[in-house]
Amino acid sequence: MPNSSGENNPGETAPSVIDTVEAACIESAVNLVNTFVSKEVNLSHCKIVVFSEEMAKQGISKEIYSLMNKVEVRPDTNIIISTTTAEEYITSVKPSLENLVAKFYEILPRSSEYTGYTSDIHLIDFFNKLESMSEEPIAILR
Amino acid sequence: MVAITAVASFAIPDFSFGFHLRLMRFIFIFLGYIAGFFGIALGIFVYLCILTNLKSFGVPYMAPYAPVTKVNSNGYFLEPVWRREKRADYLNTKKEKAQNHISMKWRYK
Amino acid sequence: MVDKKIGNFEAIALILTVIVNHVVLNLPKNIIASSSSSSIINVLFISIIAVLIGYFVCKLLERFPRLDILDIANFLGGKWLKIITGILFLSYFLFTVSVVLRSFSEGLKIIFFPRSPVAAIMILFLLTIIITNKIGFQAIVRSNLFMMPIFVFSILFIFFANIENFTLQRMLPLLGNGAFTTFFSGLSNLFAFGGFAYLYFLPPYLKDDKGLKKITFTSIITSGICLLFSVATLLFLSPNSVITEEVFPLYLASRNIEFGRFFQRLDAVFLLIWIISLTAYLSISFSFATRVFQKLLNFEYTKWYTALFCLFIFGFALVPKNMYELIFVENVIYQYVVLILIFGVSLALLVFANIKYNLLEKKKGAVSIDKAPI
Repeated sequence: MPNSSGENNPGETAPSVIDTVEAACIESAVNLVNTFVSKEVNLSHCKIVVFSEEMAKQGISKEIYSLMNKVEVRPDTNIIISTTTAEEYITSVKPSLENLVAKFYEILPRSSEYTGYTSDIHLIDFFNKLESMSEEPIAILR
Repeated sequence: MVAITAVASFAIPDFSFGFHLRLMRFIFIFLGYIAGFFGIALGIFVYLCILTNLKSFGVPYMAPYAPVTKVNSNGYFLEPVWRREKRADYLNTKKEKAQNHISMKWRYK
Repeated sequence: MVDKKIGNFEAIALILTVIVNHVVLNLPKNIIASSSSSSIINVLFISIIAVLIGYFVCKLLERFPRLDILDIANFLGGKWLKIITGILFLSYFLFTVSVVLRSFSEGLKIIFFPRSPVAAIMILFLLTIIITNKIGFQAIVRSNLFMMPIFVFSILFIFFANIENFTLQRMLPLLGNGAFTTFFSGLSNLFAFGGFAYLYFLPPYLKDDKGLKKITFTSIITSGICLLFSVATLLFLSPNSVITEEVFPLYLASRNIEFGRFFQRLDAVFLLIWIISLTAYLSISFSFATRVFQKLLNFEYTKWYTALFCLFIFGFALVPKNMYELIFVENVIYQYVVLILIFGVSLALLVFANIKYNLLEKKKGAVSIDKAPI
């Protein structure tokens, strides 16, 4: 199942890097990426996780569990579901008012405080609602 | 972090106290190398135990905190000199009063 | 052993250590597992009962000033009862130290040292315990007092910093799994107040004889507040099925704190604070164990106690082979050990000693109890 996650920008104007790896789950994908990338990919600075809609329709609870189980992943990473494939969504994001894409991702969901059309969903909220018997999980749709 | 450490090291009043800081810094770096964060935490605890065990001239080193002693205008908020009537509690003096109740009698007349 | 006295605040901090450290480990998780949404009511109920038991214990100990529970056992049943009680309490202290040590090291291994063996972390803890015990009991108690406000503040801070993530509806239904589970079988949650064990051994060390009542009430009420805040944090933060399967629940609660871009990953600071508090707890329990041992056997050569006991604790801490066994030992066995020993046997001892004292007083007039030297 193809899988790709949002990556952080290393510098002010350095281009963003996209590596694609095909694997069965997030853990093995990170392992495979670690084999050819010189620095250790640690998801501790991960700001967003993007799932494509067709993958989301098949259920993403396993990926959410593996993300929650890692100690380095921050509980406030956002979960985004994109109507196109994840790679197309990430390459198409060119924020007009920001230099760094990471900064854009960080403050974008905060706009849910003054808009009704989006919401600030963290990984911990998603996970809690998944596990709770009285709530349904929601994610940001782009 | 380095800036905070550097500024904090200026808080030591006497120059000869600074040797202690340099030695401790070395020891903590070594502990941090061995066991990371965990080693530094253990080092802090052992250091604290040694500090609370010290006695200088019969007074425990961490006097107002470690055996909890009464703070007679000698703690965080110091009164002006002419209002400090009692001596410090951790000294265990024989006479507790250092000066009379109103020592500056000419001020109130 | 030359004995130095400890003051009132130090004694309060001593009894508080127990609960602060167990709250960090797995205590709130067990309370929430047994009485799911009525945990807060359960904790309030237990605190009230603990205050009543504390009052009861104080009244029972009034007859025996400056005597700890081993001397009372000696008065009641002679040498053999004293030895049996001593062995029970000694094994309780050693058991507590090994269980807490193993549990915390497992948690620390998951977070910080995923590739190191658990034994290495435990050996580092034990080395620290040996060093601090050589420095002295009074130093440990004083450093504990020094850091205690920070420990309590960290627990309260997690509650107040997580307020925006709370869903208060998790408190409903108010009586959770039923009134019977909350009030009657929820009484077994009294094992949270394991600090009573220190209370029984405290009277000979106090500077101020009349301070026992003050110490008891202050420490029990503060323990109750700490417990209440930590249980409330966990209850409101995540649903039931998530909490009961976590390893280190309060740490996971502390990871949700965010104050904007300046303070990120505050959980490392909390872990530093909790490592220090745990080392204090282990050192104190350990020194009590060595004192009980020395009182039983009247040895004068005390140099090698610490190393021997540490080896024993290390061996015992390695007994659970995996996490499942460890959770069983920590939740089930520890719970019943505390309940039976501290709230069952000791209270019975005190009650019978008081009855014997009354009988002897009627017969003879004044009763003199010989106090064994420490």
